Amino acid sequence: MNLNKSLHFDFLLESERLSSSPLRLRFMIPVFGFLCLSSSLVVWQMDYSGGKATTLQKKDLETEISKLKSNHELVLKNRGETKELLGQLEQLKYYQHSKNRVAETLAYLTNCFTSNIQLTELALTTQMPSLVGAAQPKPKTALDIAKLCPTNMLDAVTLRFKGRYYQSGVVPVELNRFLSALKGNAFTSLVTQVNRQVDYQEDTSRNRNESKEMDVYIFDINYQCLPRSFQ
Amino acid sequence: MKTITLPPRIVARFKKKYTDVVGLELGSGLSGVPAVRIVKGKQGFEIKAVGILDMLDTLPQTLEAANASEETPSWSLPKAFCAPHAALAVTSKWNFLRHTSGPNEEIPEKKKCEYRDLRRTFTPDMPELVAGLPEFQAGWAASLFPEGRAPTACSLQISQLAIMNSFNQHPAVKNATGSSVGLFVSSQSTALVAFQNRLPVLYREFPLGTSHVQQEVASKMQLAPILVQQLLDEDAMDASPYFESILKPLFRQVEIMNDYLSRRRNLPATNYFISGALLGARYWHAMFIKIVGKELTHCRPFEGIPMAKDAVVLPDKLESVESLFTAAAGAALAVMEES
Repeated sequence: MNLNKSLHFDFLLESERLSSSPLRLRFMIPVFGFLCLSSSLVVWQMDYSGGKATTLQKKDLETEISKLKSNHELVLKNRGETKELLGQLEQLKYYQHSKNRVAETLAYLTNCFTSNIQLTELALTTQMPSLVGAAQPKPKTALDIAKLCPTNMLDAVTLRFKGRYYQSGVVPVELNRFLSALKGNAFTSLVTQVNRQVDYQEDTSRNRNESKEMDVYIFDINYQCLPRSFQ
Repeated sequence: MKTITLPPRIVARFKKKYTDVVGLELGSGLSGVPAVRIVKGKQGFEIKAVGILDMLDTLPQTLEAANASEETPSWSLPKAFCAPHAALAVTSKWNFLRHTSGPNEEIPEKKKCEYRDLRRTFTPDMPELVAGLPEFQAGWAASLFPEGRAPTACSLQISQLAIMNSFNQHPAVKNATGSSVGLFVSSQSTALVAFQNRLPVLYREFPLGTSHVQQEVASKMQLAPILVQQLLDEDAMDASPYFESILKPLFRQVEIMNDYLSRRRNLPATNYFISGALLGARYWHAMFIKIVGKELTHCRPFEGIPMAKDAVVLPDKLESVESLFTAAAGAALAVMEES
């Protein structure tokens, strides 16, 4: 048996139990529901339209990209070539900088010789790399050559004199005179006296005739020149 | 389909809380509508406004009158009485409250017109109480307050039970232990209720009300009924002999009830309460002591309920007309007590 201890006998029906609030739930719930539904639809519509527009935009962009792809590749290729050529140009500028003007100095050499001394070989050498080695393939492009080039900014330069002179007695007079001339101011812009190597010896093949008054000697002198600067 | 019953603690959490209710008595027969606005604060109940509102109470008294009236008026209460919710108590000769003889007892009133009825069992060994309100009056009362404007109806009760609810909130009743008998005096009848632990175990109505007492005393003293009240308030004369003969049958009923409590429930009444507008209250008390031999405690509806600081009290002398608001106050209190 269901016992209820309350003396409150309420005859009011549930349908008669109304809200005193000006905002009526009975009215507001459907309105709110409708608003929720419509706003959801609007959001969905916006999303759908946005998605569609994005897809179209993506498609257009893809078409444009495919159109520009060949041009893009060409541009990239040209850029690469430009970069390479600019690099070469820069290298050439370095080489231009590194040019040592030795013609006038070497022309002055004629003043250093007498009739008793003769120059048979004159070699001005720099440390040029061996471009075509035995182990590596022949470079095909300028870039390949550039890769083989030295990366240091200074190149050592050597000057080699070979020749012969006549000497009477023990003292190599002619040779000393020549070496003294090379110490002169005219050659300071070309050679240094550091690590100078002077070799001379009697040219036995020419001195077989003992009747001659003077003997023939051969010399080989190596000078270290001022370095080539690429800066 | 299997039904799930939620625990009362969870149900109570979701149940609407009523803390500000205006109680209104419809069909009171007065020139206005008794209204009491009660708020429930941390300190307990407080009366916010009390008064007889100048409203046209056209509660239909017959089914024909209800059918004839085109539409129910829409009431708008004064601001002081505009609580969010209104608890309505209907006083009508069509209402009924009685014990049934069995669970499926037919209600004869339903043969005359459509009724709203509620049954409730308070103790397992007692027949259930059934209360009824005619549909034409209930529908009329329920549609007095339209939606979207304060107040709206939150409860519809019959005044007999609303008065009992007011009585149950009285401090003397709350503090009383054991069994008690309550007399609820209205204009046309007196309800006698035996309570055990504040629950009604026996309900009877005796056809003697204030108006009968007034008529009888006036007739015996050969006075106009309107003069009786004034005369009884004066100490110059003793009207005990008139009252004894009038009240004796009623107080005999009290003795019968007490006898019932003693024999059937083994708990004789230790407290006797009376509520309502008593004509010649001192004679009622004196006669009760003389006939029953017990003290009678008069329960006023607003005892134990303080006035709020800004309370609006419309009657000049509230104490003298306090009993007119018993049903209205009881209606509001029942709602707030239950929520």
